[in-house]
Amino acid sequence: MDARQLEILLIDDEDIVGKRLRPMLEKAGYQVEVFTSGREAIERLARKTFDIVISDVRIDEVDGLEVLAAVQQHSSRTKTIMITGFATLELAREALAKGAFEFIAKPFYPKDLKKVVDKAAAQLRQE
Amino acid sequence: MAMICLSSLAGCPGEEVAREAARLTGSEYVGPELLTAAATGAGLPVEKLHQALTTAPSFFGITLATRRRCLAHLQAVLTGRLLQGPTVFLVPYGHHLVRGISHLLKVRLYAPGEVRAQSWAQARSCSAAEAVRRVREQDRVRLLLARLLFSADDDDNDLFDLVVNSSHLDVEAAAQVVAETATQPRYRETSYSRQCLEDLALANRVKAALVGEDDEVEVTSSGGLVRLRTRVTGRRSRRRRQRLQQLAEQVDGVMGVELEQVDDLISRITRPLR
Repeated sequence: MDARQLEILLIDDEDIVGKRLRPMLEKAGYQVEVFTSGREAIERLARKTFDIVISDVRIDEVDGLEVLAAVQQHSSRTKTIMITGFATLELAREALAKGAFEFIAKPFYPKDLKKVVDKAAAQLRQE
Repeated sequence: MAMICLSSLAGCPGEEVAREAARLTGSEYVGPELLTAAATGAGLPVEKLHQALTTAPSFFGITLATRRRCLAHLQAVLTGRLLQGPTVFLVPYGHHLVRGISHLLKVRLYAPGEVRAQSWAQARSCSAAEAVRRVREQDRVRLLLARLLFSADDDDNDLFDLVVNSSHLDVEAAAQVVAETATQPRYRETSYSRQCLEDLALANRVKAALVGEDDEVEVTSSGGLVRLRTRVTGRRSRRRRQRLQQLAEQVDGVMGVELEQVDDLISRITRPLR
């Protein structure tokens, strides 16, 4: 894969999550688009392929697993990282079975998310 | 890659399947030798710990407090071991000892009673009648202890992700099924499952440190913060609670301790009877 900037779509209905994570990810060299609406994010995914998608599991009107399904439908290459404040064993397994790259429980430190994003990026560059 | 917990009924080839599954998945096999480490932690001879996990409750037998002490140390040793890397383990009640970890595949190996008795008789060169008696007795004790120590029905298949009938498969084929299931994406380690395992390991280390003082203390942990729930009551309860808190704070990895006291009247009345 080329050394172009990797593109990330970040979806969380809490404004603060995007506000905190976006600068950190941009500083690390990623291009980031942030959505607080799952519906709008799915529409965007239909028009553009992202390298990495970071999605909350519980978003307002759309389930995060629906976002995951939409990502898988458009691009099996995209790495999807699920984040949630309601993590359970069953949910983690379901997300992985449906193609999630990683599953992270909230609260987490931004540096921990960056490590996972970097891992996804490294894997994308190897493919 | 998932970790694998194998639970094998008496007369099933649990150790052979576990060793082969470990070889196929490139994991380390952890077996009953873990009991020695747990016994050392509990300050008991390994035979006593073995008895605590394999003999039925009786009036003059091993006390519930001793059994809990043994379990607490076994849990601490086991979860500490799981943090070190890919593992296939076969230890008594392993599927009850490690809960809530999404990258742990729990497997039950079973076979009809008569098939297990036949294997038992062959392996130990005993009569068919003796083998049937021993297998039935082991099943009875297993169910009793699971109910006593974990409030669980050990024959409930919902405790497992995979149930394998070993009378239909040889050791290699059974291990192959287990190893292939372990490679399914749903059992992959994630940041979340790793954190759950680290939290559980810390809670178990704390529980092992406290169980000598209070065998009923409940311990949970999250990111280094430990929460204790104790039923310690009575005249010296304040001093004992302080002691629990101090002991917990001394455990490596503990960043803070929160203690909750539950004033359980029934427990207070029945405790001296146990």
